[in-house]
Amino acid sequence: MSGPGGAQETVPWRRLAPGMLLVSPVRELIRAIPLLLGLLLANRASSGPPWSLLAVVAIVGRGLLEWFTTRFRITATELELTRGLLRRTTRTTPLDRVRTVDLSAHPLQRALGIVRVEIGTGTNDRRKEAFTLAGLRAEEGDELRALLLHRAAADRVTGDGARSAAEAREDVESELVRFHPRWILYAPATLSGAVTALFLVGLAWRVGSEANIHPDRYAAVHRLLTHARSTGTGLVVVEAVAAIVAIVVVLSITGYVVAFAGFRLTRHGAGTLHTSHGLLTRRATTIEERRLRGVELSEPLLLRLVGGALCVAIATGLRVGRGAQRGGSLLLPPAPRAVAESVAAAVLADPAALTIALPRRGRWALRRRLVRASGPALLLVLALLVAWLEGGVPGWLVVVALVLPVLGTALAIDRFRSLGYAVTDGDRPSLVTRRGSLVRRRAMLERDGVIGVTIRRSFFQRRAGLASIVATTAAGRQGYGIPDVSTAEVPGLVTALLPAIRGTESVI
Amino acid sequence: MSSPEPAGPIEALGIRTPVNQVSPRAVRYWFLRALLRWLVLLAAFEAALVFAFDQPLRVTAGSGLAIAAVATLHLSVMPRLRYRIHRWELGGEAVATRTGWLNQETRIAPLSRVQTVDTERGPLQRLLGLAKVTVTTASARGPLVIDGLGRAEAAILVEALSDGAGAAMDDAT
Repeated sequence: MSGPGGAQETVPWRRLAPGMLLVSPVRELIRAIPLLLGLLLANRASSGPPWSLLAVVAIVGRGLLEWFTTRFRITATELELTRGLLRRTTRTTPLDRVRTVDLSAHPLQRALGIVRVEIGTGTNDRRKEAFTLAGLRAEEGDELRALLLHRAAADRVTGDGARSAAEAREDVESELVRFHPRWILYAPATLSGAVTALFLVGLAWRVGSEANIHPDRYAAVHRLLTHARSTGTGLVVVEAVAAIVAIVVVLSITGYVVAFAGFRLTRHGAGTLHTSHGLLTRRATTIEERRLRGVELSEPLLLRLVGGALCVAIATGLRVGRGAQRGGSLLLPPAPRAVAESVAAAVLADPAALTIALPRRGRWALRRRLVRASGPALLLVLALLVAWLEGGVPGWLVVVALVLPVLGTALAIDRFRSLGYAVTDGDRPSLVTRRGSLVRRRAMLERDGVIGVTIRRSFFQRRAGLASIVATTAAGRQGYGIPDVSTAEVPGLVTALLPAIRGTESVI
Repeated sequence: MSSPEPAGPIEALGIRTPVNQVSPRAVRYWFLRALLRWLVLLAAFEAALVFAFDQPLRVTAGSGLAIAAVATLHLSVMPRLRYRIHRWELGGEAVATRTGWLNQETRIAPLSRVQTVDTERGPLQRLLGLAKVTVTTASARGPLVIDGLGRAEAAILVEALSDGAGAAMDDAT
């Protein structure tokens, strides 16, 4: 650790935890299993050099290399990381740029007492975004997190007397929400099992094709096919669907438990929010509340139907999208809606954003939604109709295609009912915008976090006297949109979102 | 939500159009740029038809004429329309731009949130004495782009922006 008043040059470089000498090679080997399996099976046939052995040596070597070539150090003002053998790169980040600290540990790491530390700095460049230390001793990881986040918060308190009070406050931790087994009931509604199932199928396909395994060589497959041929088509379809649904449900529940067991969201007195979850891989993320700009309540369609919701933080330095879990901004996994709302209310600067009524949009919004959702579907049906009349396609295809405009209409109506926006009053006003049907999202963004406004008018919107507004921000999705606002409402909304340009003094 | 104070000039940025147009030479710039793209498209398309798909002369000539017709329509309408639509303005507190021709987009960013200002001059722009100024904020979705600005104007704008943005006290996120 940097001593008091230690100069930059005297701060020693530190290595990763020694346990990484075991963890890295094992991780690389595990990742390369499909390749190794393929090579092994191919090797049995031919008599060339032992490719699989060479591959193993190369993989282990690469894992070991990481430990030898990675070094880091923390000075009074910066964090530095050096890695690479042939091309040595050093990355430096100022300590006060750190927004979030994310600790995770998979089972092997946990057994050895190691954590992986990912430090988010709020830059939007995806390539340079995370500062990653692949493995530190657990105590070192905690120390580092405390140093990066809590010390920064305590430093802001001026005066000596207040410092000890700040340190005492650091230890105060209040729990906002804790995992409840009832949440598992909401797991199948997330369809994560479907994604896993597809992934497994893909993996099996790859291994099978590399190892030249043919399904019809196995007796079990034969039995299945005979059964399928002997029963009627309808029954087979029903059985197949039931089997798929059962598999997806089991995978979803397993995936959910593995990912979110033991979920805890706590607030530290030093001004940070802390989440931790995971059964095998334990993952802990810390977000500075200073960087929190709002909360998004997210309801995928199936989850909404069973009364559940997700809660995601809108913060600078955390990516959203591609699975909020991976970006570290998840405040609550799929859980009952009431729990999601209570979490949002506890985290938001202005809880009124959660309850404020979002006035229903005008009929033009419904018309636009209908045209966009059902329009293409209707065109398709018409095209198929023409093709059928000319004898190109069978009649039942047209009938089946009729389902699409019906679904489109239902989707459009649901989208229309989800649309709504409002700007709350009070000392921490927020923009609340809700939209979407397949995934309904209520984004509650602090007005202080809005750093620009984009007003988009497409050709058709100009004819209809409408515009779409996007409030751009440095947090979360980088921009939160309000579609189809009437031209009359635009000026009021812009001045509500950007009061600074009214000429008043604003402390940023 | 609507303010009781009278709307000052900056406050009205969301309502009225930004005042300044870009350089008149931008019309030529957009025309030439689009012309080059159409020519490349035409050449690639014809080459594919002739060499990859072995189509007879009728088809290649016919499709070539069709593309040329569409291109002529596009080139005669787009540059002048774009010149009419594109606007920019630097107020005391915010910078605003309006871009597009079929779909229009107005972007407003308070000066206190501006992070960087870039000037770009590609070969075609250098030929016509133009520049493109990009103003970025901390948001990845926020950059304001003013294309087809005269060189001198661009320099003045960049300097004024840097002065205005420099007054901000923090990292403007």
